[in-house]
Amino acid sequence: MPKIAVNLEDINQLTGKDLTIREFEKISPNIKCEWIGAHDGEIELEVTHDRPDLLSSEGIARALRQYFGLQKGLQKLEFKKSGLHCTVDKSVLQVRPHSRMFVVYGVKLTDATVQQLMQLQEKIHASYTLNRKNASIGVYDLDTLKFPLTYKSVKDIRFIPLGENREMSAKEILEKTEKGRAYAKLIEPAKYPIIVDSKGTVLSMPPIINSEDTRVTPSTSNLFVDVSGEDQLAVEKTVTLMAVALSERGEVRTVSMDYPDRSIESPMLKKQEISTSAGFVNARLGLRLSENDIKELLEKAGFGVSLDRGRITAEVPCYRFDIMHEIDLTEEVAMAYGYDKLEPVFPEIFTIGKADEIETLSNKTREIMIGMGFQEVLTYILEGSNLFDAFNIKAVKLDNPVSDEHDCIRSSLVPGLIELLSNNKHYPLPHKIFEVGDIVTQGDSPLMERRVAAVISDTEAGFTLIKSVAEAVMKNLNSGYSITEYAGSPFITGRAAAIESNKKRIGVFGEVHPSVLNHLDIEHPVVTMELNLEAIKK
Amino acid sequence: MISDTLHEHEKKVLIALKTGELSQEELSKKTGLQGDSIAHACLWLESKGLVKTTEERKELFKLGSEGKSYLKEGLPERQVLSEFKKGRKTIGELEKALGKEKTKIGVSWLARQKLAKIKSGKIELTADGLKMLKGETKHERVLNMFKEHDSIQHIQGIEELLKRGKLIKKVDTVKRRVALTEKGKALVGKGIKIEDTVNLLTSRMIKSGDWKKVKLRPYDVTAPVPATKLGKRQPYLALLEEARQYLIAMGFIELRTPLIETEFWNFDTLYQPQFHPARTRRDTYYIKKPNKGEIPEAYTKIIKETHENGWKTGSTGWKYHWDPEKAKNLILRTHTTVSSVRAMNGNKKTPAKYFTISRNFRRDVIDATHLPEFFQCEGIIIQENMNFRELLGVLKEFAKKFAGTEKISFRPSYFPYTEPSVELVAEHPKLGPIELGGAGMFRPEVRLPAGVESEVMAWGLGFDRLCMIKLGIKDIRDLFSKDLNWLEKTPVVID
Repeated sequence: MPKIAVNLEDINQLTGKDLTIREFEKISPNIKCEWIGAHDGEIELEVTHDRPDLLSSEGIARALRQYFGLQKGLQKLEFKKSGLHCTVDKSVLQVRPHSRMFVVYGVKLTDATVQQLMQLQEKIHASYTLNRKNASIGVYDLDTLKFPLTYKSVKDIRFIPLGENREMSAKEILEKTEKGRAYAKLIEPAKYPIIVDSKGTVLSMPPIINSEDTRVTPSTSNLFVDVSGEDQLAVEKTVTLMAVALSERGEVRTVSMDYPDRSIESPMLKKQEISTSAGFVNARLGLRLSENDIKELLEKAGFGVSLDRGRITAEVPCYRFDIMHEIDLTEEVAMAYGYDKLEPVFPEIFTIGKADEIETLSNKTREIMIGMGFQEVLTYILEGSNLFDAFNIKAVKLDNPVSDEHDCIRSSLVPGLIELLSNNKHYPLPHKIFEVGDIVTQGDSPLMERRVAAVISDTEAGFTLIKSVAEAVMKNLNSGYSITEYAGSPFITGRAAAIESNKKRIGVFGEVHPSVLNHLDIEHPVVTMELNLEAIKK
Repeated sequence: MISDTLHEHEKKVLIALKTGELSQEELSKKTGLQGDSIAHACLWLESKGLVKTTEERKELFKLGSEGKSYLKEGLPERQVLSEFKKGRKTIGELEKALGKEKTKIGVSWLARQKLAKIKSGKIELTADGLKMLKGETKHERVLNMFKEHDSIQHIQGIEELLKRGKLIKKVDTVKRRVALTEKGKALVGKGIKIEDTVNLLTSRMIKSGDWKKVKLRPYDVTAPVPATKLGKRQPYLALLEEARQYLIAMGFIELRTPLIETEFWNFDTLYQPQFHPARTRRDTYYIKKPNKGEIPEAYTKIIKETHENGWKTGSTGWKYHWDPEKAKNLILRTHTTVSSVRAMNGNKKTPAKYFTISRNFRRDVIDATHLPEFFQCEGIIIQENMNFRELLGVLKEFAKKFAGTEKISFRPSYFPYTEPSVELVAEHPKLGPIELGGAGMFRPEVRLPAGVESEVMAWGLGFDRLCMIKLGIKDIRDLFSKDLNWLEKTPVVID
């Protein structure tokens, strides 16, 4: 879930309220914000993923106005034409085809507004655009530009990138600037998308970086905003979010996007209607609300509502992309009603419970192991391939591990157990531990398997000892078995055996090879057994 | 009676002390017991308040290695004097008789003690020196004390001898003197009988009937004993097992589904769009090889439509192009909600309840509050016309059972697969609000493609925080403790 920071003074200015930190904290869960903390008027919140409209103080303030009843029903959002144009050249249609722009007049840029503007861009990029692939945002000082603009693709370009002090080629920008390196993979070489004005000033090379020439400064009062990307829906949603947020700060006007075959006024706010009924809402929530109650509650949540012969039709605010079904309206009603006012009812539903067979067998196995004096331990399923290499055991690897210590899925319980012993050198011998847990077999079709493994380390732990343990397990699991010779890791050849059932190997036991013990810096003999419990399951 | 519980050695010591204070050596002589036995008996008696021991620290002197031979042969200066007596007065003559080294030491000590002078290679005794031909030097007087004593206490002139190398050495000793306390005196006053008591009942005594002839000594039951080692369940798993038993008792059927899933089952069937940030390499573990899995054909068609246009669910859908190839990617499951979807697909009857408590994986960096794998308690109830308030009722019951509290709150929340969604927060009396988990009613876009017409409530509870509180753990990594000592010390009953 995205985390954001907002300023209390800014929020109060946008809501016209005089909230204290405490009051805000108490209300926050009701507007789908999780309170993280506050200091010096800076408030940190976590916003749920369905509400990108809450990623800046403008959206938070709107939600608060709705909560306090200061703003009811659908907010009128109509943007006038600016009369400004941008030509979308056909060269860019194969590269980064979708683009939307708008302008904002009369913005008063304070530290708080600049911070919110940057945060909104950053959070939308991170959470909703597949990291700028589907959509990316650029903000510029409108007064540095000469219209009309052109959005096109070029073989090469030179300009001073934002934050640099010299002109650089496109290739240099991708190789030498931080943003260039981060996003270079999103564009193809010699097909660089750029926005230029009629004087030839480069605005930006989306989605990489803006130019220094069009930088927003504290004296900027008119903004130009562009959103471009590979996914039309993402571009349209993003431009809507930006325009709606900035409409709280200044006057938003549309820009005409002139495609080769058509012109679009941008942003175009989409109208969406979803209808439901009092019957549906009441059945889902366990309430007895009238149509008018529901209308009131939906209006409180910022919806436009009309009632017509049993149907409740809600016009969805343009910045809400999470309303897809009447069940979503139902949740809006519940939230506006207040979760704290919903009385819990325990449903008496008679069903017969049942344990999973392998879990039952696992518990019986635990009983046997504990009866023999073994201590149960819990180790990770994600292990290090270094450890498994030391045991010469293959395991399924992760493609994107976070660290070497957890980069494969264990295919045996034994390495983790023996490694645990190396952490207990000063604990008096004997060490007797076991684990019952899942492994994943290595191979073309990896399978989950429930196993039990036991390990004993003692000054004289030998084959006889572990064979006796293995036989006690098999006999008490009431499973027929035979013991055969076994040669394989991590055992000493000639001192290991396989447990077979119906001519299939279902377990192994024996003395662990001293080279493994040396590797793990274990100073006493170790014997181990491992058994596949799935094979025992009747 | 206290005297019955006394060990035979203790009794002997008490009796020996009847006449007054003794050192441990004296006790040993008097009772005929070994030094160790005396020391132990005294220690036990002292812990019972029957005797008191006083320690006397003493500085003693003993002969060193040279001192022992000089005691026999005489000090080098004495040997020189003896030779002088025999008429050997030149250094040369002396060296012939005594050797160079001894002559040198002897002569120099005679000179230092002003008993002799050397004049042109000849020894001349002083007046004192002449007296010493028959008398005893100061050094000799001290040394001769050792003829009758192994060790002596400090006496005048001993420092000078200490300076003479390995002649004598200083030893610090502790002497323990033991005496009866008032309680001890009272006990001894009543009389202590030494009987033929036996400590250990042996098999032989039982078989032969000899036990009838002996008295089995009663033990001091409060005396400490060595700790018994036992095997037991891992404490965290034991707590999870309690939750599991409770859910089975509530009528839930236990589920077990694969750890490695396709994105299809883990995300798509749960209406989590393919562009959702959780479905990236940043948040989810992908499998290296094999990296693709099978997805069921008919269900895939329905899921594709559901995502793109809502299918027959009454939803608008996510309105994007759904890619079956992405759906085939193999991952480590990120939540056990996938177990619930699999259960819905196989479910034939209503009402029905399912649950599982098992492991999930997320790409977190390990620290005191994050683990890459964690247990989740997941469950669903399938029932016609079930409503949101009933879900709240179930959650309230869980909070009572698992967190032991009725002080809870419900907060709006979001999951792509539930609507309405809710977060369950319990108020801990000391630690404040604790998130117990998330829940909601499965969206029509989830349950209808899975073939379930009835309402489905779903919840996922995380017990990590609660278990940490119960086990007194601050660092989440300790739930997977590698410390055998901790595992041994943690009691089986945890409240």
